[in-house]
Formats: sequence, structure tokens, C-alpha cells
Amino acid sequence: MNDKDFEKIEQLLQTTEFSELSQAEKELVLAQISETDYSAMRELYVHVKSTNPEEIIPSPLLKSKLDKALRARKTAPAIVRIQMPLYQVAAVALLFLMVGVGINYTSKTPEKIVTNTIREVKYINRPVREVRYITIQAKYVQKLQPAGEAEPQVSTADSQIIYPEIVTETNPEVIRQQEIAMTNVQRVLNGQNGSSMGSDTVLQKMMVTLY
Amino acid sequence: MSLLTHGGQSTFDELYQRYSKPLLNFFFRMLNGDREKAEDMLHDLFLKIIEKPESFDGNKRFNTWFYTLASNMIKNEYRSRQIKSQHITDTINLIQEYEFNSENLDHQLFENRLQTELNKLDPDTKTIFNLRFHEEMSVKQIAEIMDCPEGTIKSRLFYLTRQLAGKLAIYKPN
Repeated sequence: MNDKDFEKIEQLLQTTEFSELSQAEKELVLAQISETDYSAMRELYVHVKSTNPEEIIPSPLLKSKLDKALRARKTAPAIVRIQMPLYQVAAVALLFLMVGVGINYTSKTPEKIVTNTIREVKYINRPVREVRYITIQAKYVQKLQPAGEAEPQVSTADSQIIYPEIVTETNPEVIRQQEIAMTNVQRVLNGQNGSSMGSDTVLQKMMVTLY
Repeated sequence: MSLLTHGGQSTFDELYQRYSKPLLNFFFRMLNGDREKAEDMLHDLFLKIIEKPESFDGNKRFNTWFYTLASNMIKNEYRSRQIKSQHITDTINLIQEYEFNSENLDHQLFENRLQTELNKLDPDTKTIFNLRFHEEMSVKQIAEIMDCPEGTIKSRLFYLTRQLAGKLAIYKPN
């Protein structure tokens, strides 16, 4: 059925009963549909036209809600009115996240090495079995020859200059050497098979192990 | 629409006055007489116009554009819920109400049967029927709203009318 036939038939359906159609009109109609179909379709058009469907009116509350929304849109700042599709917002957020994560991974945090020194004092109970005597070469000391006295004798054998009488506070090096020697002697004399450090708190304290 | 973009109250009032009632009744018929839902959809439609006036298609007339939005909303609504079962219940209640009034009983039965058959249609076909028979729009306007060729609208309309008429033949309201 072409467009012209449709428009013509529809117009007839709205206005004319089948029995009132002209011969040409009947031929046009019967070429597309039967008389029964025409009558039924005609009834439908008439019924719909004659029926006054219930018409309703919008409630006033609806208008006031819309007016409020319009006022709110007017007062909103322009930046709030910018609308972006949700996928664009998500894409931007993801991009920022990836940049942040990338910066975090590339920056090298210096490792902090923490050392903790633990000092542990161990008391070693060990008998001293060996005594070593050490000879400390006397250094040349300043000659403090009292006035008027004869010059000291010089022993060429060991090329040491010894000033036995000059043991004063002004010669600390000589004093120290003699003290060490005396300490060693006394140790040997006091110990039976060597000396133990068990009763010697000073020596104990001297024996410190650092780990 | 450019005036509406800049928040013109008077422009909006004009649009509301012209289109709110016909659109509300369109929704009312398409939603089987559910007034509350029809008002909700009318509210949503105008709210969309307020919030996105730039979405107006300048190639269409206002009338066509409004009904395009409305028919799309109807399609979405049909997809989301079942409407047919509710109308069958309403039809039964209507028949009972007119049981003892023989003068318009046939008329009511015809109308009820028509609505029942319309409810069985898909949203597009039912929209075409309402736009043609109730809104009295031309085929060209309906084609613009439905985004279909005019020939398609004509053939669908003709076939629909014949089909409905066949089913309603026994309810001739004479």
C-alpha cells in the first residue's frame, strides 16, 4: 500500500461507513482490506473519537518544586554547573593516582642504618701464668745537673745516660719506668703459680671485651 | 531555550503552561492511569529541561522534542517494571462498577478491552497509537518523535488498527 492509499483509506475510515462509499472508494478499500475489516476499523476510529478520556491537571505543588529547582540553578556558581560525564571524571582521577604512585616508586628513600653498640662486660677468671718483663728504654732526660757537681759518667756500652740520683718529680718518665718494674716484681713474688685476677678487681676491670 | 539557559523564569512558565497538561495526560494514558507516576515523570522531564537546556535539539520543534523525551522515558519505565498486570486488575474493577448500568456497559467493555489490548503492545507501538489517536499528531510528527521513516509509521499504524479492530469486533458499542 502506498502512502497516498493509506492516507485516503484512513480518511474514509474516520468519516464514512462502508455502505456510503462510492464505487471507486470501495474498490480502493477492497484492494487492501475486506469489508469486515473496514467495518471493524471504522468502529475503532469512531469509538476513540467519541470517548472523552479522563484528563488530569498537574498539581500546583509540582510547579513550585520546578520553580525552586530553576532558582537553585540560577544561584549556583558556574563551576558547579560544569557537568562532566562520569567516565571522564573517573579517567582523570585514575590518571592522578597513577602519577602519584609513579612518583612514589621512583623516589629513593635513603636507607637508614642503625647500629646499636652493646657493651657487654665479661669477667674473665683466668690465672695469669706468664709474666713478661719488658725493658723500657730510658729516654734521654733533661740533664739537671746541680751546679758545681761533676758531670755524670757516660756508659758507652749501652749508650745510656743514667742519672741515679736524679729521681725527682721533674723526671716523670723515669719514675714511671721504675713503678712498672716494681709492680711486676711484686706480682711475681706474691703469686705462687702465677697470680690470679680473681681477687684483683682493678685487673678485672681492665679486662674488657668489646664486641 | 537560550533564554532558559540563562534562568528565565517567564520562559519556563510559558513552556510549562503549554506542555505540562498534554504531557501529563500522555504519561497518564501510557502508564494505565497511574496519576502519581505520571506526575513524577512529568517532574523529571521538566527538571531535565531545567538542568540541561543545551540538550535541546535545534532541528526539531519544541512539541516534537518534548514528546521524544517523553516517549524515551516511557520506554525506560516499561523496561523497569511490569505494568500490564496492574491494568488487568483495574479493568476488572471497572467492569464491576458498571455492572448494573446497561446503557454504557458495552461502551465500557469495549474501552476496557481496548486498553487491555493496548497494554499488550510494545512501548513504541502503543506510543504511536496514543500520538495518532489521542494527541492527533500527523504521521510526519510521529515519525520525527519516534525517529522512524514515515512509511514505517504508516504501515505500523495501519496494521495496528486492523489488528485491534479484529480483536474488538465482538465488543461493538452499538
